[in-house]
Amino acid sequence: MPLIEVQHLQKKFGAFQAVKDVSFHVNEGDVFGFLGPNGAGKSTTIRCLLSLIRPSGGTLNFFGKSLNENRSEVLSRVGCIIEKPDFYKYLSAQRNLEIFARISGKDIAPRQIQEMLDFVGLNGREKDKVSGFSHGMKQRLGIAQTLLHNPDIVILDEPTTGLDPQGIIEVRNLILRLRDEQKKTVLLSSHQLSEIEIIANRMVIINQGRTIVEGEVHELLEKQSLNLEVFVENPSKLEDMMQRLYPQLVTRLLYKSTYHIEMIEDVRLEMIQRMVESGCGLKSVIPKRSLEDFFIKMTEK
Amino acid sequence: MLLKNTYNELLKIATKIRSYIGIGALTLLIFIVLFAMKADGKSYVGFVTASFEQTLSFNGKILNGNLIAFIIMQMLIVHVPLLIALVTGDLLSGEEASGTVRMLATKPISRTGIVFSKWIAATVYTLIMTFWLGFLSLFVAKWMFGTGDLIVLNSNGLLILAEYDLGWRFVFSLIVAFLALWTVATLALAFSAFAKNSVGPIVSTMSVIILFTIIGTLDVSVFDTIKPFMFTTHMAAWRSIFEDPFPLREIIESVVILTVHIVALLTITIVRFNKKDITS
Amino acid sequence: MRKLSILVLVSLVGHTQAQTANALIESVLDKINLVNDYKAELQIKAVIPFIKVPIANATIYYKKTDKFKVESKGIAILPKQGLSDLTGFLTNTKSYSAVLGEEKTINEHKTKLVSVLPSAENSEIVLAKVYISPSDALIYRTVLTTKSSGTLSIDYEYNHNKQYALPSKLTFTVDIKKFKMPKSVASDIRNNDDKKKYKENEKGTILLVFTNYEVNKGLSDAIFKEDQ
Repeated sequence: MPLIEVQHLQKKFGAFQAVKDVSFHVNEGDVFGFLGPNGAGKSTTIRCLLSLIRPSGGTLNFFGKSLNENRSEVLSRVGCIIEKPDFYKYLSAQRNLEIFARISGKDIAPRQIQEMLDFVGLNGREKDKVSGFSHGMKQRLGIAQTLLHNPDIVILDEPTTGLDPQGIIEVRNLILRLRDEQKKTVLLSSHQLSEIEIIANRMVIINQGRTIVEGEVHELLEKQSLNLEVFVENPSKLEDMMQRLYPQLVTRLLYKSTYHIEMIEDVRLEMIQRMVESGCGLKSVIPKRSLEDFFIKMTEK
Repeated sequence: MLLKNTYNELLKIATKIRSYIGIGALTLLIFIVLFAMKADGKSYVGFVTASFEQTLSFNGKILNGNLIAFIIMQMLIVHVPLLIALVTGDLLSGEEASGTVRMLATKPISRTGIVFSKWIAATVYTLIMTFWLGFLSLFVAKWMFGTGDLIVLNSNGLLILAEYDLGWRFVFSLIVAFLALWTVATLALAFSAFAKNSVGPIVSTMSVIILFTIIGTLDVSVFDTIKPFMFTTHMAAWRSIFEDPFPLREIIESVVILTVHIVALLTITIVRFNKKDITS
Repeated sequence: MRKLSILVLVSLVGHTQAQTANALIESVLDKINLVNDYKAELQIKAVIPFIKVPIANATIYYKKTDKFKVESKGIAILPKQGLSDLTGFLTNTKSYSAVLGEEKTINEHKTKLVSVLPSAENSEIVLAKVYISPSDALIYRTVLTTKSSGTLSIDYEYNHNKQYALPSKLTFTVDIKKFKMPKSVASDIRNNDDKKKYKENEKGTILLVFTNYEVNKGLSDAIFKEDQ
């Protein structure tokens, strides 16, 4: 039985239909990627899942039960961060967690609050007012409040938005710890495929309010082209080689000595070998998988 | 859950600076009036008795704590609604503005429960403000000016109420004044369910009070049918308690109308907040 | 001018009449002069248009010649004139002219009217009509015409202290001008249309009942000092 089951979800805001037909399911133990470009309807769908927005149509089931009819029970088993965690800035981190703990539907001891603050690395800052917290610290506090009542499902909506690279890594590691140490089922929305690729095992992609594809991440991505961004010392030698050996591939000069190569099939290992042999002075190869490209490919199918 | 969230709401009010602006302003205003009365209260009293002074002399302590309390209540009942709206107008809209409404509404407490606990917290705050108003105006004024009979100036003359007859009147008038302020608090809460920041609800609440008060004072027959049903008409109902004979029927009418307003406004707030899509 | 013409009239009426009038006043003053001081309990019941007031209890103190004080716990409304100043006014016999008038029976007491006209221009009392009973040398009615308070009448009743001319009951009837509401002070919400409409001027009565007289027991001057 899937823990979350969304069927033909719809949401209209006046004349504008933000979600037209979204369906997917999340199984127990999944780190489920919820992927789509900006404006695809991700946030609206997630808000519907958390009863922040009333759907115009479709069904939402958690643990095999209708969300609409079992709202309190469902929400007591779900933890979430929507876009960014917002707290009562005039209160301390601990007071904020106490406030949310009181209405989490479970009895939470002060010790558990402290443990959670330790888990997210905010020990020593618990008495500080949230107004003095950085975005990254708020995000970690958000994760603490998400996990405080030991939920079965954790829903994170764009949890790395606005974070610096260090913050992104921290949050990413926290999610991996949720998966590995706490065995939580995580639904993670993002517009970055690379992020989903790293941590999710299953995913759904939506665009313009509709489900495009749903499945195992590695299976879906294996079928797709993988582009490369290469940086060389001798550009003319690289261009030569590409024309000679891979005339069917599009090679574009991005900026000085950096090229973008669009792949049709995964010939990465062989190509890199040839680049080295050509004497073009290969400095770096970065795999690039553009969500937009992926969408185009998916929709072309 | 309702009790726990009510505790949360009270905690939020108690830790917010703006909650103390109201109490501070009220305290300051009362002490200004007390100081003014101490300095020049006799001329105020002279103003009240002026119409009769040629023929009659008023013996006894006219300027006493009871009169000062009555004057303070009369002066401040106009301004306290603003101070209350300052807090209660922020209760829902403030959550929206700070984004915490998302955190709150994804917890296993119903939207009705959220509104209800905020309303209870608003009620407690209003109660504290009313109590503070009563305490300062009555006890501090009595401490400063002593006690005595109360001379009340109505549009049709003077009424002197004996000191022994005042205790219950003050208590009852504070209860009725609380009911009026409670209506304002609920109105501000209702507005805050429609807004995304607290400025709108506060300004709207005061605008409604000002507008209704102006309509209430206009001697235009067009408004005569609606005047008895406007809550502002009954906001000064507390004053009727200092009339003789005691206008029980009119006071009951005011209490009923204010109560109906509270129930209606609370219902509107609950319906609105339940239907609201939280998109912030 | 009016006063001057009355004075002319008084002098025309004749010296003898004046003597009789003065003698009547003197007979009252003889009794009053027996009082060096007194203290009494006072109950004040005021029925005045535009004013609703509960019955007030007070203590009244008097000490010769002009010390006078009413001490009330609550607010007590008393007439501005006639309570303390009339005796003082009559005592100074040189400050007025007295003319004897008609006889009148007041509360079964045969009285003679003595019209008293002050000589001083600035006197607050313009004319005092004093009804004195020659048989017991007591005033039973006074009608005062004053500069600022209009006309005021006082009816007297006596009980145990006739020998001092101290009344047991005084009924003041005063003119009350139309009450003008200071708009900024009151803000009662209700329409008072249904309430009684008053005429331009109305009469108000103040009933003073004196009990527990303590006469000539000696009163300290400190009593008459203002509290504030």
